[in-house]
Amino acid sequence: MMRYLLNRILYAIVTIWFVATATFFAMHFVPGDPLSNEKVIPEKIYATLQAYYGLDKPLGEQYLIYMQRLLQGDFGVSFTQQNRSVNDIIAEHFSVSAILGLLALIFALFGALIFGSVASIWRRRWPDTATVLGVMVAVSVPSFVFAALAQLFIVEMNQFTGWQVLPVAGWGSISHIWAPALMLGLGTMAFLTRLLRGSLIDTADQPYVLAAQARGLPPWRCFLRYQLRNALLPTLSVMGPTIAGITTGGFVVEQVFAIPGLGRYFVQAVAQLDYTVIMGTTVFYGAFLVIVVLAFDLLYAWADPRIRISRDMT
Amino acid sequence: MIRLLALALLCLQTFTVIAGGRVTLALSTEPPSLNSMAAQDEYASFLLRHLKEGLTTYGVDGELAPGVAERWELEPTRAVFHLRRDARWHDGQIVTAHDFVYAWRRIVDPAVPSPYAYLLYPILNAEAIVNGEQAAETLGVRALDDFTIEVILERPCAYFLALTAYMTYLPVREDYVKRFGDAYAADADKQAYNGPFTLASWVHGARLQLLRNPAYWNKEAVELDAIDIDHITSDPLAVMNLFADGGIALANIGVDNLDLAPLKQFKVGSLFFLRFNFAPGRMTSDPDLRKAISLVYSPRTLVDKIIAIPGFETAGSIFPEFVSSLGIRIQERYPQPPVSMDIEKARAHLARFMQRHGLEEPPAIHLLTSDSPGAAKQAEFLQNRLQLALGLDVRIDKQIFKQRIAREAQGLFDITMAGWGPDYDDAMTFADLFASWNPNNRGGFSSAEYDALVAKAQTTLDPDERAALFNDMQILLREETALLPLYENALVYLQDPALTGVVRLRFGGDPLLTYARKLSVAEQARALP
Repeated sequence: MMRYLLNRILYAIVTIWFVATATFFAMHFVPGDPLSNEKVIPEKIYATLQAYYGLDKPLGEQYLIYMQRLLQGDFGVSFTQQNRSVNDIIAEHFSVSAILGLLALIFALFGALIFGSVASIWRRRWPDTATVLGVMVAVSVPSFVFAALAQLFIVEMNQFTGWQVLPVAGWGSISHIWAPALMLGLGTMAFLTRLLRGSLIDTADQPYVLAAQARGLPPWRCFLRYQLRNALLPTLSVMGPTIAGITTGGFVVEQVFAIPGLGRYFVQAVAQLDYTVIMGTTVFYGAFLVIVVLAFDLLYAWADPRIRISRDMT
Repeated sequence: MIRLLALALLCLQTFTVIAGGRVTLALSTEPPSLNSMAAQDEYASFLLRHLKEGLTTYGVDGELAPGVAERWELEPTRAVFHLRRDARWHDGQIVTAHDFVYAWRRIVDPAVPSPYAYLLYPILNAEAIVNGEQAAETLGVRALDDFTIEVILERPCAYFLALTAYMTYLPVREDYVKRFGDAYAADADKQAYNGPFTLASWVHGARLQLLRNPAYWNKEAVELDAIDIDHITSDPLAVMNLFADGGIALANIGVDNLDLAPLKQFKVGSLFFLRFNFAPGRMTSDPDLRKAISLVYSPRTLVDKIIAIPGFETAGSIFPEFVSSLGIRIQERYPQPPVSMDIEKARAHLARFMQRHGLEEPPAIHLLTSDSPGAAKQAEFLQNRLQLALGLDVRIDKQIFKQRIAREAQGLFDITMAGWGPDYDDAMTFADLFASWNPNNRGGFSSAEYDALVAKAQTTLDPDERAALFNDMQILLREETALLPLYENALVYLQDPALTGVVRLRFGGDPLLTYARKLSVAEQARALP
């Protein structure tokens, strides 16, 4: 187990290094200049700016300097958000994305648990059909459509009641979070519902479930103790990428609801060629994904003895 | 439950405060910086217009007005500004001449990155200092005493006074720069304010709150208690929804929502035009091809049918309709309407061009444009016209912002769709765009005659003579077809009827809310027809 763990950590470090290096060079090969603007800056002023950001050095040297700083945990200063360090930008805005993502995940999990169970219990009857249909819609309609519809609905609701039931957009109070979190969670909810429905149906025919039924256990107990517990394991295995995806992929929803999450800064940075922010957010997202996936793999091994044993044996 | 009740009460309270003179807005982008010495974007310009005040500012009529300077004496190459004694920073300190001298010297200091340093070039030695040829102390500005500033100009400059209202010319407190270093102005409490409002809080990416500045010398003129920028989003639908919900008082709208009422419009004054590539070997360096291109479409069709946004106007000159020089509107005195469509003439020009270059077929044209839906529509219109009228094969090259700029800088185009907004209130801000020495002259148009006209206008202070020079320039550009003016743009927006006194500005800081106020419910009822 220890060796497995060390191996995984080593792989994680190599992955992050690769992401950082590939991003660094890819970004510099994109045509365009982070310092350029609609109005041309005179040559001397431009040279001063280049020297200030270290862009006057050869690319190899810039890479070494960047890596050296990265090892010390310093992402540098943003090109466009002048005077703000990338570390500050990540700290301040990722926490926003994380809160939103966490609530979205809770919505998704609860929804998946309810809809997945309902669909598997009333399999091939109307609750199942309705769930499958809903899942198909939620998976195929992009989140910005849901977000925009939800916002229109809030406007109508507020006008109808004559009361600010929910704010249309913004961030700062608990009332701001519900609508965007629900919209952000919808896609994940649909995906998890489908997964859970499938594995619940699989476990329904398993011998241990049949045995429990034969022993005369009440159906709800059979379902909760034997079926659901086992059916949750595959869900656990996708939780790593799911958590990473939902906390980092909320850009569109954040944009519609005017939420200051990190996604906006990432997308803006790419459009503006803000080198330090592109690097900082990419490395941070990469590291976050690698760590979360690793953590859930370990958790999975702990939860399911079969995996642990098979690994120890190989 | 109690908490819920408390929350409801809190909402109610906020609501009553809103009626008392606060205005809530949304910004599409957070200002990258509020450091007046480094800022170069419209969002910073808007905020700094409300947070700080220069020697001059804009009054309730939208015209240049005394700011920190209460009066001044202007000579051809020298200006003396007398500062008012009651101008204060928000912490009570007196705004002195040294705050201006410090800021201006720092901007031209080559050790400090300031992209807009060239706006100070009219001041003696500014360019030499930026180029590292002279020390920052030799800049032609000094404090004669705490309340008097003397500026020596490099050469006579007709628009210098207008420049002093721009954000790059704002005063800066040295102690704040010293204390915060690189983080100066990065947060609300990291700079000092001497304008009508102070920045009470700034939550990055989320909101900014401006409160009326009790230390401002002209605080009686300020009616609003606060400007709350509660939302930062560039999503047009979100902005519309916020406005519909009563959350924001101003909402810019795009072409999709023109059916909403009542729409307001403001002619921004930016010129959009086709820029030709004059590099040797490029087909567009041939005047006959440029002339042919300029004659194949109807400017009215472009503005009314293709763009179809109210307020947009056809353009015939490099000088938009509002542009003036020393009080004379160029288009009023010397109107230059758009070139009218003439297919026959266009074909004759094209034939001459093809004959000169021994071409059998009309050439392919590389048209560079931005990725905005509006620009694409215009590009396709031009493509269609050039194809139908002249048989030109126009290839549209759609690029995102940074890539488009890079291609323009490398000269990878025959024609590009360009835009230019004024930096200051004078025709020169457009005129020198086609001077051969200007780095913004990205097509490389070069005419000794034109350069001479620009140089002469730069030092001429006689209003009639100067206006005539600008007329000579627009005629020369027309004869050469150095550019093809397409249209002048406008801003279409919705405004809360309870908000009045908003001043629209063309030269940085729009919209000006210093003199705005919220009508009470009773006043609103009275205002109804």
